[in-house]
Amino acid sequence: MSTTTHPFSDELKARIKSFLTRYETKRSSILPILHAIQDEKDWISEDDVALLESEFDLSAVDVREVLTFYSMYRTSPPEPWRLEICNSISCWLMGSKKTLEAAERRIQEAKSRGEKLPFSCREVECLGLCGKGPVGFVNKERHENVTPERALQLMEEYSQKPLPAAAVRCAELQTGEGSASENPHSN
Amino acid sequence: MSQEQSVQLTVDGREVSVPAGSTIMEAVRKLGEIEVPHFCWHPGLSVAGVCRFCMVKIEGVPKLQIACNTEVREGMAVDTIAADVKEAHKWALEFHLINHPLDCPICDQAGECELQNYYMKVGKYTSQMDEDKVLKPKALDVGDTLVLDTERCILCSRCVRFEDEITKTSTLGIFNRGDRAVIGTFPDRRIQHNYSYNLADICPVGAFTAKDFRFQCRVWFLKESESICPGCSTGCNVKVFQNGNSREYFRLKPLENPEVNGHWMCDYGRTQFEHLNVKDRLVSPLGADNSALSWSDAAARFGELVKSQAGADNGKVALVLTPQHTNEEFSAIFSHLKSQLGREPEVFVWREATEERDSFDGILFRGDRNPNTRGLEDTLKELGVSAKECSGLKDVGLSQAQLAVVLGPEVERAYPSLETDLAVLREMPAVVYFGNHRSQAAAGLSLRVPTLVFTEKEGTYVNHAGLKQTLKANARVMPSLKSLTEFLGGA
Ligand code: SF4
Ligand code: SF4
Ligand code: FES
Ligand code: FES
Repeated sequence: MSTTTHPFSDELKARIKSFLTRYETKRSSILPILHAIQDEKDWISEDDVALLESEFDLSAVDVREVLTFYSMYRTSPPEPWRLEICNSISCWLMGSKKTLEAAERRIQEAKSRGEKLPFSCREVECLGLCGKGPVGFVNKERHENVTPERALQLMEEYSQKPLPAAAVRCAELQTGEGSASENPHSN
Repeated sequence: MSQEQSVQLTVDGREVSVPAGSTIMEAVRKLGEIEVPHFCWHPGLSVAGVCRFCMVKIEGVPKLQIACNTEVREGMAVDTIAADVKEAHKWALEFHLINHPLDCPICDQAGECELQNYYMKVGKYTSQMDEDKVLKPKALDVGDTLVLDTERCILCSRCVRFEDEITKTSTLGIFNRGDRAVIGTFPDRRIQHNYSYNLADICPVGAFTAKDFRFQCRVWFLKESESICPGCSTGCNVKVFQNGNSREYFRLKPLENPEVNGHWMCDYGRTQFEHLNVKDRLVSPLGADNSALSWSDAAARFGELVKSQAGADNGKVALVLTPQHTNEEFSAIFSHLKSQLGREPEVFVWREATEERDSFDGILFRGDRNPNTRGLEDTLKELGVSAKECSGLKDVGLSQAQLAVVLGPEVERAYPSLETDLAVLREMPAVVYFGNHRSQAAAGLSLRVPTLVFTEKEGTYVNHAGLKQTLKANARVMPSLKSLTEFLGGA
């Protein structure tokens, strides 16, 4: 993918435009637009919101209201991989707290040792797969029966994979002008 | 209104009929004596129904409903005083107070806070909360005129709707969710328009407070009276707030008048109390050498100056009027000169040279920064006088008048070219200048006579649309001041 100084790729701009005409009011297209931005560059900055106003004629205040309302939108640069563990009742009964603790401990250890582990984790509400708890997501991929052992295993597996495109794009924009494609979390 | 379009219902057993499609809140307001407590509803804004305070009971409906967003039905029986309604009001207040900092003693809204007032009326008094309060940003500088305390906010969204619907600037939004929700602007943007103080008015609590008023005076020391804003030809109806003891004015707020200004007024209008206070006022007549004169000496000197020009074969006398005084004053000074001179003075209407008289911001504010342009035109017509309208005073200078009698502007800010214009007057043989400002701008003229300001006189202003409005007089800032008619009576 060729990078430009504009934070949105041409493909993204085209998608945003198509969303804008999909509903009766432009305002109604804010949710899918924010998802599209996040899918491309992993998070949504205040500059991105300002851009939606100046280039796509949305109100920055309206967009920010939606953006800050949902915890699923990321408003700061995230780790490339994100483990989300359901902590609602069924998964909690199946020991999701333990899974979370194991994952958190692993991340802390890596940090204190200066080891590169491109992961974050957090608890989320019910993911709708209550019969297979604890349920977890890594980015958009779903996993069942995520015991503490399975969580650690998943983190190892994903760490070996190439970084997702959005994380690469995020890093490019962080280092400026898309020159380098280094992982911003490597330092 | 035809019979089938109106709906008959009862509220607490009292009958009322309202147009179909009205809400219970509107029906209750029509009855007048009953009050349903509310925060987010405001008669000048759309219905949001978000504060859930205005609960009422409707016969046959199992749960309580909000009055502001429930339409009336034929035969509906509404109850605003049932025990469960009162209970609901208590709990709604309790809910709004969960994260409220309760810093009323240092809050500028205290004494006129709807949250405080309702708590006194229908509150629960004892708190049951074990949870710690959520802390939020305080004393935010959100614009040139406003300070925002997001902890005090009850999220009624009035301010958001004002920005969306009235100024159409959409500067404010509700960010985050649940108990973290806060009112705010987009980062690094500010509330910047000529109607910003209205936000401090409509905010039912002390979340938005006005920079020019906060910590100046406790509201319970202020007396309010009704008046007309002199800032422009719209003539917004206003309430002026004055400390009853010191007679010092502190602020103006809009007074609802659907025909003129609705619920609002502009920020320029809000500053129209500054020239009323004694520190800026000319309080005694001054002679050419700037020495104070007694009122009787001043009247005698004025009488002599006029008499010296009396008679048909004498020099010209110019009467210079600004559209900032009442119809009654225009007519009094003209008639006085006419009778003393035995002929009519030559009348000039002095207007600011740089004014953009016909401009209008689409809301209230007009380029004609004079409250009584129409009134002056009407009065001159009634008197049968054809006056010369001039921008600046050059024409008056060229008129070769031996004596100029000038009714200067009350609001000098409306005359940015005042200095240049007064320089013209200083070249004339004799000038009597009526004005209310202490400023040295008019120094050196033969005689300067203090005038009253709009809050101290009775009389008529006619606004841009030809609507006659009446001023009511408060006590004068100094008892020794004289009105124009009182002064002319002694001359
Ligand atoms: S700041 Fe005031 S007007 Fe705005 S939502 Fe909060 S309480 Fe309502
Ligand atoms: S619009 Fe004119 S009359 Fe109304 S408040 Fe502003 S200056 Fe005063
Ligand atoms: S409770 Fe965990 S997926 Fe529903
Ligand atoms: S006044 Fe009815 S819900 Fe707020």
